[in-house]
Amino acid sequence: MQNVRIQSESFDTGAEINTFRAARTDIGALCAFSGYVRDFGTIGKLTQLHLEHFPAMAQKQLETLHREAVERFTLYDALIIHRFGTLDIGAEIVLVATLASHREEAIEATHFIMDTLKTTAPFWKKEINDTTHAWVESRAGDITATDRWKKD
Amino acid sequence: MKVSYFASMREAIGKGQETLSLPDNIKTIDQLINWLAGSGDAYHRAFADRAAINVALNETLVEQDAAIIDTDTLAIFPPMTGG
Repeated sequence: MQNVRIQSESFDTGAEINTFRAARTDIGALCAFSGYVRDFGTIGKLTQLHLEHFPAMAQKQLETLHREAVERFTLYDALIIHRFGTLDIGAEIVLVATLASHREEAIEATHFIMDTLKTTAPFWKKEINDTTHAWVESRAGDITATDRWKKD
Repeated sequence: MKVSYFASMREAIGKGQETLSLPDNIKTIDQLINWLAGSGDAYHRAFADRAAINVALNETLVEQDAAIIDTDTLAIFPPMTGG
């Protein structure tokens, strides 16, 4: 699925968004979320962030999430790009973009994809600096965020 | 059965994957985890908090009580922190 990409290489967020919606005149709304590597974490100032992942499952999981989002929010399309490997401070980690007729579907779908990806996509972050490193712990708030999208 | 470990669990156990022969009495993932936890200190420490363990059977997230057979692949890992 070309609109679900897992890669170590950096990407240009703006260019990806433009390519994603290029030449389409049927869409009324595009919503995008970008996640970046911050320069601080639980271990203090960071020099890098390392992302480990489970390749086969991550691809499967994100493709399932893509299909689910397109169907549930009646999207024209969605784009999910997630990096892995050792990333620099300030680098992009993830991009999620959605195309829809109207803003509500586009915004809700982006929110749904990000909240669900946070707890179900097999990536693990490790903070790194000159003195130490530590695995990032998952936050209870992330589980709550995923759960609130679950249908009864 | 091929079992893979990731992230802090991989570091605690000291390997990213291994191939196990399922004993006849091991029918579910939690039984397998109990068995591994009893087989060595590293496993015991890695699996100490069962609520913090996620499992994927044949690359799909499942609950720990899922049934397993020797030809399945299993992955055991901590809560995910992507995004």
